[in-house]
Amino acid sequence: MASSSSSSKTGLKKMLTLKSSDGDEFELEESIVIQCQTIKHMVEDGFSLIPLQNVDTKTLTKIIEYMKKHAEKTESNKEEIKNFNKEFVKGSFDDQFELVSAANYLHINGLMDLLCQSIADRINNKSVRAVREIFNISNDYTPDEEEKVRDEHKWAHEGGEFDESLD
Amino acid sequence: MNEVSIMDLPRVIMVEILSRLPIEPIFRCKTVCKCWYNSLTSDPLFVKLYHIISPNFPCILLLLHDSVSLLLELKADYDYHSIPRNKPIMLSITFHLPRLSDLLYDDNDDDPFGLCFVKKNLTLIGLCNGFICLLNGMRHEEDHSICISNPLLGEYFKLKLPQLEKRVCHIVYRFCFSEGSVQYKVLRLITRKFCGRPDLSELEIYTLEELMIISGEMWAKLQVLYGENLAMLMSMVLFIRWMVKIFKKVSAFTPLISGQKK
Repeated sequence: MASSSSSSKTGLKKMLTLKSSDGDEFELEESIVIQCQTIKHMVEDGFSLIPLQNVDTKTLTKIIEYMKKHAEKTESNKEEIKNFNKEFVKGSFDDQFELVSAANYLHINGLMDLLCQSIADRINNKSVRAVREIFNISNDYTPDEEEKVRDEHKWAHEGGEFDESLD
Repeated sequence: MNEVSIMDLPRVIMVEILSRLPIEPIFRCKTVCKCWYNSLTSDPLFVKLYHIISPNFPCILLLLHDSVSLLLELKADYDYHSIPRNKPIMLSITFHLPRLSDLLYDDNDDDPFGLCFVKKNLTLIGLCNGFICLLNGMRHEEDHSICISNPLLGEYFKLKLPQLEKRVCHIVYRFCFSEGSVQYKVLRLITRKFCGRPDLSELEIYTLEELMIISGEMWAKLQVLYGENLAMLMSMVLFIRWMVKIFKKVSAFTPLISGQKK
């Protein structure tokens, strides 16, 4: 499993291979991949081929895109990164779901932050019904119980219109 | 329609997402489903994350002295031993108030603004993960009661504890959280006087069950332990350490006992 790691000493960039659950392999520079804590630990243990059984190719491609961009982060391209992040979190909840699970598994803190905040922002102004629809949550309250819970914080349900749309 | 549900995410991620919401949507989200209700009401992880993510959100404890209303700002890492009056600010009407009338008078709904509050004396027992445990009334009087408050959401739960006997001469309450069992505990140390004999102390431990609104009874008595001179374990830290030990023992014993019954 562990191939020779002497290349890093000779000045060449050390490469790592990530393998998705679908069996696809991606070769990346170590400096990019170590943003991910899980992989960083494996690298420290001498692995250079890293199998990621919980991450499929589609999700891994997205995550690599994120890591590549964020590896370029400097003082001067903050705005660019910001726009990249904005674009990155667009998409259905289904996609975000896969990404957030993977980010959690891989321990990429920045990505975790970004995704959790973006999902929270989505919930923010939505009506209760819209939240249930978007995130596929079944309502397990009886009408009486729901009324009771509503009454606990009536003020939060009043005032202002809530977004009923499902995007 | 969507196949994946947010419910399939690990609890940690779900709570992380919810803890990033502002206060109003948090209240609305309690209506979404029972699981969210519990996460938002009693999950220590939620409270912890909420404090980290919104470090400036004040924990509010309402005090009334001679009809003056005060809001106190408390932090999760609040020093238990310092006097809880460090940051008084005037009460703002627009802030969401807990239903104080529920807390004080079980059968009186005529006082929705909790003005009757003035008649009682509230003191702080302890703080845990941002939750506040309060003593309502005077400790040496029989009609005192204990309540737990989630100041983040402005909620109070009154604790139903067994009545005290007349012989009781000293009572100490503590509020803590057991990492091992992930449960909140209220400890009550009672010292009884007996003529011509040493005082007898008794430690009662009450565990906060899952905060299901529907099921009614929230608190269950877990176990009563007997011992002499437990009063020396007065420090909060000692109490917690000691308690964790006890709980490890208890959980180790439980399967053994049920095994014997078979």
